[in-house]
Amino acid sequence: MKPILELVGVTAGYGRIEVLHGVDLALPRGAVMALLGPNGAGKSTLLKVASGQIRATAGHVHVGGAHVNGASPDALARAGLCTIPEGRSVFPNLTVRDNLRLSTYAGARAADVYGTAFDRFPRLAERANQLAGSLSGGEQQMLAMARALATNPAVLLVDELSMGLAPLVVRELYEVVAGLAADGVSVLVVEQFADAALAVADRAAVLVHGRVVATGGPDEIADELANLYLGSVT
Amino acid sequence: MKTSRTLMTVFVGGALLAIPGRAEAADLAGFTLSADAAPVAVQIFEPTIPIPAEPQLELNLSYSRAKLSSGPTGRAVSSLMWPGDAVGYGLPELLQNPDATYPVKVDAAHPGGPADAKQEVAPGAAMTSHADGGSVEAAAHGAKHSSPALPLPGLPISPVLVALEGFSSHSKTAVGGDKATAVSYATAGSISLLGGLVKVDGLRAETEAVSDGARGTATGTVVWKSLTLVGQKVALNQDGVAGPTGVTKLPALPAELTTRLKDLGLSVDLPAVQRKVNGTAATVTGRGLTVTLDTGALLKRLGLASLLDPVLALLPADLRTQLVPWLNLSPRLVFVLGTATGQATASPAVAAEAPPPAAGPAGGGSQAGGGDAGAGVGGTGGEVPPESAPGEATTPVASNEWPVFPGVPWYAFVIGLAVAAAVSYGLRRYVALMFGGGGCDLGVPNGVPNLRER
Repeated sequence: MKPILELVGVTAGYGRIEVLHGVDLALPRGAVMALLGPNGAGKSTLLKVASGQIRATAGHVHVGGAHVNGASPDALARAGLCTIPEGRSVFPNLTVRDNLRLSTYAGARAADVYGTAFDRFPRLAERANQLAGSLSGGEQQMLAMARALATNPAVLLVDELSMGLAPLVVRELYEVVAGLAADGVSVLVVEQFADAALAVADRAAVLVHGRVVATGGPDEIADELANLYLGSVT
Repeated sequence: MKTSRTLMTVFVGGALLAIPGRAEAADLAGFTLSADAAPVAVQIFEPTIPIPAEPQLELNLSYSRAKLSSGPTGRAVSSLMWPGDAVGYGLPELLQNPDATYPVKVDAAHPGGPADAKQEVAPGAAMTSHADGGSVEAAAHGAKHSSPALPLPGLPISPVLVALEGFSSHSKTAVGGDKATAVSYATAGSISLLGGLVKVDGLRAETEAVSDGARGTATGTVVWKSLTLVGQKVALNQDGVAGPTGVTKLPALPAELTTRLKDLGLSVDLPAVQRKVNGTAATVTGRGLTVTLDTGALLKRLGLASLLDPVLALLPADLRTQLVPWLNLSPRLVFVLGTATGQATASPAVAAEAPPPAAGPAGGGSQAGGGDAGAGVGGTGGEVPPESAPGEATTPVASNEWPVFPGVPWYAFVIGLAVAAAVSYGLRRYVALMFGGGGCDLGVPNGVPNLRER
């Protein structure tokens, strides 16, 4: 079966600064893949290329078995590829319910959006009329995920899910990610902190200096992680 | 509750219906407006002075002027000390220096700009001007002033000719949809003239000229709160003395006093408002007390010539030749306390008539043929529509219908457009067919699939 997201020899960057140098990566359908790597490795850039926000200067981006180099972000989003950006990007001056209601502009019914969100994250139901800016970091991340789920994604790209969150909350969020995968959603999670992501991931890849230096199962990657981050000691 | 709401609705609705609608006014096609004012104007008439203007010199204190005419074009000038256009605008020519500009003025112009300008000489003494397509406005306000401080040789009066306090003027011209208006006023709290010989308190001269394109109207008043003339104090306006019992006609100056003043070259004209309406044009001029001093008569009366002639005889001939013209200067000085003018004229808009029909070609036959309209083989523009009466040929307008490109070039153009559109649309779709990789040398087809179909 063809992977639902595939990058072949992708090169990309910002202007004259090249960040990704021939990246090869494949996300199987219905799998959770953890993309690990140190700060500045190019993980977020890779997500932007996959979601169409940055155009690859070379190589191939395949989504659903189609060549999508040059496809616009909105076209990919409409097709079912959803991104949860780093920093959550919720509207702090709107209530939880209003933040969710914004998702209805994609065509979903408000009742369905609320139902999905509050079923997955009961804590959001308790805070439905609270301003998003007053939520904890974990609750804001839940809101961002709930808003993404309202689009009924087939592929979910999550950037730094655990950033600034307590380990307990991170574990809770990754359980949701695992649940999504069980429902058939393919998830690519970008993480700096490997433990939580590897705990639910089916596959993992390590990106260092714009190149994928290792790909494999989570256990395999976990064993080699220190060497991969820091360089092998010979 | 429902009843009260119904009553409220009826009341509000009735009130709205009861408010009369604004009368539809005809637009103005053309207009010319002018307004100016100054609480004090000093004019010097002396033909010997080489300035091509009449009067040759003038000084208007706290002067404002606004002009607006169809186009629209407008100019506003305000000046606390305005020397007249000849000096105010002609200084570069007078001084033969293109960089010379008269500094005590503020100009605004439309459409050239600036639209707004302001200069504050001192706290409370400011000049402002504004000009746009609908209104032009100028104002000059000064708190206190005395001028000139230099003694005039040969005149037995105080060095301070004019002293005034709290003076200002304002001129405005504006055009709306239905009328054009020129309004001006000049006011001064206290004016002392000729070293206190004449003193006026509470001067206000104002005028308004309006034209709506059908007729003009002119109104104006000149009012003094009080007037002190050679120690005698009266309160008056242009119609006479205003007292508790009403307005009584202004008493004429005693004939003997007038004669004696005239012998000294001094004459006094009482305030007056002159209105003139001629059809759509209205002109109004309000002038306060006007004092004229003819220095020629005064010098003659003083007999200075008999004193100067022996002195001049002692001078060398060349020097005497140069001095005599200056000694013969006898300017006539005119002081006007409060002057305001307004002029307005406008013409109504005229509905544009359709252009006369173009004459058909001689060979058209559609007109010459009488009842055989349309039978001719006229060239372009010569055909007569079936519903048109004979002789009413229509003039084709270039932008009135689709462009016509008959023949091969037209079809080539259209087909070329269609081919280009098809190629651009299908290029991406058929690129795989053409280049064998579909934009991807791995053989993956292009396009964004629906990922939810799983």
